[in-house]
Amino acid sequence: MFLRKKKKTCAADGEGWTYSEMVKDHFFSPRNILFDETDYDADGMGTVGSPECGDVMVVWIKVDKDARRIKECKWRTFGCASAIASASMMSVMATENGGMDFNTAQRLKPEQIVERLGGLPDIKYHCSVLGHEALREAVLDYLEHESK
Amino acid sequence: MSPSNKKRNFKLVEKKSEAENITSLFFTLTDGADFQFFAGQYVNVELPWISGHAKSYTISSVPSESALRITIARKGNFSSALTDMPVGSKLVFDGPHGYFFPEQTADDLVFIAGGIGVTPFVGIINDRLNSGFQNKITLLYSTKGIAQTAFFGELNRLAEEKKIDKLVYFFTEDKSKHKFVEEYERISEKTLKKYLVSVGRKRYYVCGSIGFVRDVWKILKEYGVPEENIFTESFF
Amino acid sequence: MDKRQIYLDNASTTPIDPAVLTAMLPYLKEGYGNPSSLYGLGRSSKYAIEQSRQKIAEIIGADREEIVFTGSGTEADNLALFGLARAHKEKGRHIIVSTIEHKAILEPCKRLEKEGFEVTYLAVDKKGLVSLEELRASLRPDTILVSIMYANNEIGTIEPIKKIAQLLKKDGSIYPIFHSDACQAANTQSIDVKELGVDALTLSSSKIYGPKGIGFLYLNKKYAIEPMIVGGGQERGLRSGTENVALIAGMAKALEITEKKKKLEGPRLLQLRDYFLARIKKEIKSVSINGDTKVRLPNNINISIKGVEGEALVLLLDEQGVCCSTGSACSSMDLTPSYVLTSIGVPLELAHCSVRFTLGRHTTKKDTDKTMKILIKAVETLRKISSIKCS
Repeated sequence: MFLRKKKKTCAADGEGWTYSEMVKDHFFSPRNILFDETDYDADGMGTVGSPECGDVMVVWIKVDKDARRIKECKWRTFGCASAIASASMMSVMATENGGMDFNTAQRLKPEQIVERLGGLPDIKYHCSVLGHEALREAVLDYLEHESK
Repeated sequence: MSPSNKKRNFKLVEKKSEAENITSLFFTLTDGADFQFFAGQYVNVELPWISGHAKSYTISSVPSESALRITIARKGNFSSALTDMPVGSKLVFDGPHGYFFPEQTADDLVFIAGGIGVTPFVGIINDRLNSGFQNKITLLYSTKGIAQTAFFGELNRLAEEKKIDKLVYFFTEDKSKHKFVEEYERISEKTLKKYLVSVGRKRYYVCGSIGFVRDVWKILKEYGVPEENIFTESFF
Repeated sequence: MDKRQIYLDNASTTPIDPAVLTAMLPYLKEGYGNPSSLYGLGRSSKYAIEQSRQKIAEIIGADREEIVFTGSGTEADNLALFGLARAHKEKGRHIIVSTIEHKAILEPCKRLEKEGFEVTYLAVDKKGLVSLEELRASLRPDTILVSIMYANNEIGTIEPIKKIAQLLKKDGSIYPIFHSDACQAANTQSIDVKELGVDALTLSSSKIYGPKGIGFLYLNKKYAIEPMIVGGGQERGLRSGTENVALIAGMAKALEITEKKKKLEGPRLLQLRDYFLARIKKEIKSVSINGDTKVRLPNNINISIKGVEGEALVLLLDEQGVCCSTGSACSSMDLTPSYVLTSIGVPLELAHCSVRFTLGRHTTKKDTDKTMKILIKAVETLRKISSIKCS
């Protein structure tokens, strides 16, 4: 008798519209939003997406210049629940455990954000791509200014 | 330092069929001399009569070539319209964009491609060789079979000449025997394991559909590859 | 069902009227006979179907044999397009539809194009209206079918069906056959086929407080049609399959109730909708209306709220018990924003911010007031999070 080996997947991987509890948490209670950037002295800023595409993510970071780590990571997003949750989770990942070093931040992958969110439907994968791109842009922005 | 991004005008000068439903389109600039990019980057292509916003396509050529090549799998309206454009058509590209390429590194490089996901690797491999980098290169490439494998001839030649140190095809449907075909099923935990011996100072680049990249990412991590040595690019 | 739920998505589906459920139950319990069977139990099922058919025919001003029961409004649309095109292809291969038809019309058109038919997709203006001039100009000697929806499901635009019929039929010619999808219009607009002048009409039970899984196609008896589902020959060979008597009885009852309530329901919804819309425009800034205010179903609100993405808004409203829908790309399975909104010229960035409220029989003023409170809060929350500032 042939038994199909059950692949360990999480409910939100790939299919339909199921949002994990983690996604819902980060959507209904997003972390690290920067409501007003007027007096925020950011070390780096990254913007990705466009209103035409239905997603615009802006990320501001403050860094520890000596330790070369991210100290603060703030954001705002025009986008769907997955985009908001991805930005929120990304900002948590960037600042936890003393903050990501620049190298790790630049290498942050959408898959890592999706995993921490407990999975995202495939149709929402691009939202996690925005998260990783926006963070990278912010870090690159800092590095570019630093070298000037 | 990343090359500057802006909209540029290109003209389609040649088309070439690479495999079943896969076509390479060759473009030259019509508005200036130079389009700088790193092999493995992509451009955003606009076709306003098909869609309100642009779609991204990886550049499969190297910067030193005279024409810019994008290699497209015919899947939906956009890719079909692009593939069917007559030679001489003019298009606007925005770019280049992306960071899916190894910078200065001596690490061994393992490229894992699903279907049309091979496009960045073709450019990157040729570019490394042209630039004289000495990395050990492994390419694991999953397709349905020979007819669906883009750059089959070119990749085999590079492997014969030892410019690709290890080339392994995973054919999911075709049962043809070939020197570099070692697996007759999809890339999975079972079939990938033997190629993950000594993950050491290696960088893994994975490119393909969202599901393919996610599956390979999970396998690599389970096998102990440090997350920061894995680089991903999903096509969607 | 959650008691605090405020359901404002009646264009998508409607709750079953209790009288409809009562009408259905006997056929889910002791009345289970197959209508094709020779014995008493079967004959009474058959009788129930024919009674329902008669009732529906009377309501829409048709003959009994002009009603074909289908599994949904979508199936009726498919039958109309595929069935009529194929049956009349010797007479011509040109079809005309609008760009804002339901996908149940547009998808068959795409497939018919592959079969050698030519389809003209008439553009609409920013109200969503088809131009009679353009329709006239598109007509050809080989045009066999024109399908224009009575009212659009997203923006509620009501097309000039009578005028279109007059245009198409003025020479008394048989072709083109004029079909209209009336699924959204049936609640508040007249669906008398003689008055409208249509040759074919689609209706869906799930939009008129009837059960899901049943619809019908009205087709003037002078036109032949090819069936799509063949087998035992039910529905005079036009739609085989053991009939679902309960659903048919339910739909007939639903239509009967809808007809009775129509006269008062239209004005009531209009007043309520305009009250709700006036509050939205007054109390939330940077809101634009999609579609026209006048030539519109009285229960339909479709707006774009700048800087507020549609899916995110719908989910925040859902958390507070309000059900509605959006035309944003992120809410669709193919990541494209609503083609209806783009067809009427809504810019992409506003299409992503669209939200649709469609009021229903059970919607009260209290519901709209409660929704306003929730909507204001949700918009405020999302605008604070948003990277797009609205002036």
